Amino acid sequence: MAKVFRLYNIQGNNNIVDWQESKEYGTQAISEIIDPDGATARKEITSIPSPFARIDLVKTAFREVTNMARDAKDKRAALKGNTIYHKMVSEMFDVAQIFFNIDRFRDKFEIVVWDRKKDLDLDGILGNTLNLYLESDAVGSDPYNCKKMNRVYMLNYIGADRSAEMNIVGGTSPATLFFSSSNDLGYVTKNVLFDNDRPFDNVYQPLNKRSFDFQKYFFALRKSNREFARQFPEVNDYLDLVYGCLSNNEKREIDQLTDTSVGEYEPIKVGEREHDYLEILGFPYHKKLKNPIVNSDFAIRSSVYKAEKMPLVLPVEKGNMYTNLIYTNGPWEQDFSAPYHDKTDWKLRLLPELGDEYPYLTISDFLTDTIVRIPYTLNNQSYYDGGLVCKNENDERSYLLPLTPLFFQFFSVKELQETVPGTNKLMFEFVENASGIKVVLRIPIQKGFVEYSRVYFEGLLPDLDANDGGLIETKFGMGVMPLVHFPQNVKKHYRVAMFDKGKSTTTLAFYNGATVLESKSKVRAEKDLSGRGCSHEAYMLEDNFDRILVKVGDVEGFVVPLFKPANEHAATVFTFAVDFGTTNTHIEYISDTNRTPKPFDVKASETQLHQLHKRYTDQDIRMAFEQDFIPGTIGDKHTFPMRTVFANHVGMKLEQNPNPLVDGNIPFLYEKDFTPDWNKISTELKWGGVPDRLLEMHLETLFILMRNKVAINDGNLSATKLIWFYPASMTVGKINKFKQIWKDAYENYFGPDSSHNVISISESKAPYLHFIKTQGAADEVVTIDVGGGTTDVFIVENQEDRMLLSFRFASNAIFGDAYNNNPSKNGFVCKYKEPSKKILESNKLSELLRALSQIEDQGKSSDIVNFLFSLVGSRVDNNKELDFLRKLSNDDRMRYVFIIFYGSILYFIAKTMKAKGLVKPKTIAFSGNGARTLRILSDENEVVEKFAKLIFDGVYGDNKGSIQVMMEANPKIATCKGGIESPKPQPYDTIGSIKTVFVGNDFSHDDSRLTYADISDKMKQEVVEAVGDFFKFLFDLHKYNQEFLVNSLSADPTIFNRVKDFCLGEEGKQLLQVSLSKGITHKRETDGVNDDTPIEETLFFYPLVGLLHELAYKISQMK
Amino acid sequence: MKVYVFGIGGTGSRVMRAVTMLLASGVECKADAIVPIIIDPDAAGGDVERAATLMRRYGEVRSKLDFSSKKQNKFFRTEIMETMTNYRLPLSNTEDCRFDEYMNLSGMSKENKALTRLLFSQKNLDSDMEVGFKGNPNVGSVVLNQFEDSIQFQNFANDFTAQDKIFIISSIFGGTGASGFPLLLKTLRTSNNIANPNLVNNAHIGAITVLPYFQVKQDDESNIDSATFVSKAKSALSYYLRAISRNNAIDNLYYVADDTRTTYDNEEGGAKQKNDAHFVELISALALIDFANAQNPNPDRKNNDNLRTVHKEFGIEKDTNEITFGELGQKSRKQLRKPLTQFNLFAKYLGEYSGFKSQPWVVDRGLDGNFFDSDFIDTLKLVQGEYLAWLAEMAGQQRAFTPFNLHRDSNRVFDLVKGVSPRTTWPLFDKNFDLFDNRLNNTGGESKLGEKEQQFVELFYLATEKLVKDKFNID
Repeated sequence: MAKVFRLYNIQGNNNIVDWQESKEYGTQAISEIIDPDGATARKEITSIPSPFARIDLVKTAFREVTNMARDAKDKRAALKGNTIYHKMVSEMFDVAQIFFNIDRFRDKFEIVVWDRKKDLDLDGILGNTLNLYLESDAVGSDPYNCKKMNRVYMLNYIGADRSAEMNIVGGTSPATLFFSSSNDLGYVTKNVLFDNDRPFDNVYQPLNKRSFDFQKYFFALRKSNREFARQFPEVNDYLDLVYGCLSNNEKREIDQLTDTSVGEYEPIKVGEREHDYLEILGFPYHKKLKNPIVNSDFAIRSSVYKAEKMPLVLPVEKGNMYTNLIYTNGPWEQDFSAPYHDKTDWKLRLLPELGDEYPYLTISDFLTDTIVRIPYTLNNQSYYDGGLVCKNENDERSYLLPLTPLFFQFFSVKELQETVPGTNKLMFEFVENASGIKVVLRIPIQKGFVEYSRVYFEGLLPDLDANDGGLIETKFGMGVMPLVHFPQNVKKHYRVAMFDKGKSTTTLAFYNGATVLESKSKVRAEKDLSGRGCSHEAYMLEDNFDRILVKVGDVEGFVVPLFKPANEHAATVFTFAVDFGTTNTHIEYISDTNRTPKPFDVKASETQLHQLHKRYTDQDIRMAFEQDFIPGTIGDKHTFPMRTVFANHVGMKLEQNPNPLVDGNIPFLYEKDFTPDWNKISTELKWGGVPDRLLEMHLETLFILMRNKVAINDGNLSATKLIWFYPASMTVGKINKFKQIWKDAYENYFGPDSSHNVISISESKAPYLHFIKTQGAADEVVTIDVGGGTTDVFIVENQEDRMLLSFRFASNAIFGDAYNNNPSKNGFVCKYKEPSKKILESNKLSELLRALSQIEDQGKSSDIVNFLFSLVGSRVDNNKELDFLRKLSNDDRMRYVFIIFYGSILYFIAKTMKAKGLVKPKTIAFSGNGARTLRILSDENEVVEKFAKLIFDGVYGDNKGSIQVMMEANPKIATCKGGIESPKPQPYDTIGSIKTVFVGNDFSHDDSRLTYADISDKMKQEVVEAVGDFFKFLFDLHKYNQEFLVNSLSADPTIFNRVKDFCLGEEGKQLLQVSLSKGITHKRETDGVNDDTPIEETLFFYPLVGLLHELAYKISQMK
Repeated sequence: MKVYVFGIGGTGSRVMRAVTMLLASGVECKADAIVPIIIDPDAAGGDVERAATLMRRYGEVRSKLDFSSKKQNKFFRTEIMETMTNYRLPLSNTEDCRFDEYMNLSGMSKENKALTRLLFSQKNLDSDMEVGFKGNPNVGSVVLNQFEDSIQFQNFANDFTAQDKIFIISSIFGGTGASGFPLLLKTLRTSNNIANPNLVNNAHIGAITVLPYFQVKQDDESNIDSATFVSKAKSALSYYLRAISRNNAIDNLYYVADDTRTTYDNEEGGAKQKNDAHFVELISALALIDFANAQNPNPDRKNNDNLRTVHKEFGIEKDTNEITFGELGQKSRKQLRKPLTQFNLFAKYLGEYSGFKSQPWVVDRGLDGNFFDSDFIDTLKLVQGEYLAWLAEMAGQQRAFTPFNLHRDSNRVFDLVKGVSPRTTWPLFDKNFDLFDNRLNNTGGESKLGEKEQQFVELFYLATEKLVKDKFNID
């Protein structure tokens, strides 16, 4: 057999001997050359004698691989070989894929364009040679398409680890579309990744192993160019083989491509000119469609955020923890890691390692760079504490949750506090650390979670590149009221108190789920930058919120209150009775489940204002809650009834619609501590001495307290009943105004059904109801409610409402300033203020002294006296010297004032009853805060009863029967209790039949039809005379009953005559006249009275106000 | 008719060695002269040096001989012209120069820099031009693109006549040869910057592409890795197909390869790159002779749209690793057996035998001591020694061309041609060199005319011709 000297297996004539004509080594023949080394050579093939050798080699490589695969049984395996040809084919696609993904590699590659016309340098050795080859290779069939090649587009690697100034890794080829450089491109491998493959590595990827979108594009590209098969025959054959290796679905997708499918892709722009697009033989090559759909195990598992493209949550630490998870198309690899932070908007980010534009999130998207520490222990009953356990129990500290607002775009506060679904790992954990605090955050993803942790180091600036957090400390206090979430149809009224004492400014923002809420906020006091004193700030929200963003300077963190959902099916009905008095206000309440009326209270278990921390060691912050908000509890230190007083910010502007517990509050510390200078105190709210809005704000504050109590105790807000009381002596206009306020407030804070649930009862009747119910009062009852401003009298005979009286003659008539006087002329103030002050000073009760001083500054005697009364409170317990009532009880001289006060009231009632034909009462029940002073008359009930009987007997002219006098230990509560026990509405317009008004001159007829225009000088004179008659009556009573005032009521006998002379003398008469005039004028001024206003109250007591005031002063001046 | 033979790279030189040997032994060649033009930047290369020396000696010997039509002698018959120093086309700027410097990479525009870096590897750019292209013909394709610039090449073109032919010898798997061939071909076919461009562009050009026939020892540090030889060859063949065959740039293309391959030491170049001769080189030499004899398939290239390339391959009759004349094809056997055997006998006589000085053939011609001590005899003997060494080298290869028993046994002088038992001849008592002397002594005619050198060579030609006929029945 002959032997032909040729390479293995070239098919040809095997019988050739000598030099004999044969055929050219054609494509087929060359492909059949079997390489004894299996084409596994490690070195690049370099044998092409052309400067374009590499272009040719890649063309050959395609043919070789195609031939191998075509003949192989397992075509897939054959396409994925490890020969040098597979390498070159793989690298061609690497280059193609980089161009395809050029957008995401903008930071890694620049495109350099070599233009044949512009750049071919015929004078240079290279240019000359290139030209020679381009010209001569273009002869014939132009196998490399040299003729059509105008430009070469090259990838210059500019990313990390680049080895030289210029690092050309590949470019376009007129023969195979692309080709790679033969250099070692390991530095690119290291830094570039598509899906699951790295370019230019030792794992050669055939096209069918690459991402399908890239494969699809290649087929689309082929479809777009009818010349493709002729121009790129090797690549064309290769594509045919790849097609055979695709799945049926993939084939179907490829089958649907048309010659215009490529139009769905965007050409790659190069250069400055608009029309400069990357082209190969005139056909544009395109870049990847943006935003591939990925099905990643790292896609966030969010209950909140819904989008087509769910962001991926990527680990920041290398390792094999996540290597079993699919990243986008391939697994997350051991050496993958996301950066700790990425400045790009997360929706526009490029995926780490891959570079695809696709949203992803990393640790710094969820965790802040700096944590805020507060030196107080968190109130973890009311706020989520992140599981922080201080190693040392005595360590008082807590942290804001170092979570970003973005975190909550994906997760609810509830999820934050729980374990990651499907695992037993908490989503969030604080771990105390010697050098700071470590935070572990586990973000749920499609498979399990990605765990992040960051240590926040004390005293260090944050270094995000190293994942080191910073830590700052600030002092602030905060409280939220109430911690109840309300259903949608219920109006919300939240208040958040914030007291900042840190170096940086602290502000709050509120969120509910994805919503940033609007809140009204008010800084009532600026922070004292010297470190003394905190800011006093308040926020008001009318929406449910679930978290609070606290900004401390530039640093942010969250507070998550533990809201309790309101019980939507709550059936418990609460009933509140509010006795809004001139001096004091009282609230009693009952509920379905507890029908015994109780003064309004807030127990520790039903805290309304939940403080963020268990205790504030900082006194300023601790005090601030009570100064500007409400105390933690009501019912012990602070109790109802309480002083009717309101504190508003000095800068409050009425026209800006100020709000309760924002611009002002009920100062529970009033009379107990000084009032901060940013607050302005108002008393005497009831009778029009202050703007209406202040009155409203005061009442609304009470409404907020009541509402919160209902909500916290699972009550039915909209079924709440509210009873309020009005003095019958109030003008209709004023009553109507009050009615509107109560109605509006009810509808605002409880519900729409005010017509059924808001009940008004006169202040006169309510105490009666209480006495009937609890004291077993007999028929013929007179109840006398002595308040601060009015005395209301209700008379029942044979269980029938017979008469209602109301007049503005109550405790303020004694303790006040008698129409425009001042405390320097007030006998009680003159006599008792200074001694009390001395006691306070000696007991070093400086806050009380400061409080007193502030009250003094207000210039109202009643406030000063009320302050003196308040000293009996717990702070000065057991110090009898500060028990003002007791001191007054022991003051036999001042007792004349009280004798005249109560005597005149009983005398007037008796005269009226007699005139109306009513029988003498069997029971007289006193109530009202003012009635406290009744015991000044005598500690013995019998003495008081005797005094009352003597008056009634004297007026009625007989001494039949007996009178029982009743009084509650705390007389103020009777009104409320009566109202709540018998909540029968008694609207103002229904009392007309029993409301009795005697002007007070002759007691001969009911004067309720008179108007103020009817008040004549004669009438006034008669009134003064009638008052004179009373004094005669009183002193006769004394005279004919064993000197009753001195012997029974223990009035100081040494001044009896001076008192008598004053009252009956010319000076007294003068005073009575002046006082009457002043009273009428005052009425007109403060009650909105005009000539047409019906007279609602007697004028009888107006003269007495001035006289008593003067009497008390005179007594105080007596030696 | 002259044949300009471009021997490119190491293979080019080695084939030229074989060509010289064949011509020395008298293998018939239709060309009047062979004009070797060796292209190899590796001036110190062993193969180049050896071939050039041999050719010069050939020329020295031949210069004393007379080839007028009456003469029978065919030894050294064909002229090997030295038209340029050392038969070598000088290459400029390749000394102490890296490829990037050669191209002035640093002076290029960014675009050209980029393209250069895309087309050439860093190793390419860093390679030292002095020792060739180390298996990187793409580098060669640039560096060698300077033919037109040399005076020698211009002279070649100037001397070129319409009858002359061009033959290009190169290997496809190396560096220099592989790159030089297409480039040279392109230059010859397209250059306008030479004398007689029309003649040169349209000349009858043949080439042999030597495919892998040896391998080198594995050396990770070396640029030459024979494991890629076949891959390289395949890639290059594809390129030739596209860049040479398909555009019919060549008239005659010869392919040769061997799949039984000897391993050589791995030398990237320099004096040590001197490989033993191989039968493939002899085959290649035969290709040149075949081409010299061949008709131009494209006689009117310029006006012919139907150009064709005649491709040829070489075969022997029987596949064996020890090739003797018996395994050669008939034509080759005829071409080679007689001249190689004749010249072998000539060489043996001069090299192994010294008792001839009183022989009548010497005395009659007045060949005295001076003659036998002359430069001519020295040079002839060097050529013959080289010839025997060449034969021995080929015989030592994995696939051996071993037609002769190469021994120096004066008792078995005619135990020479393998597979052929020497016949008994008259006078019966004359054996070995005695028989040789007998034939020398009995040869007259033209061998007694002319210069002594001429007489001497003519004598030996005629005597050995008779001896091979008598002893081996070769004619």
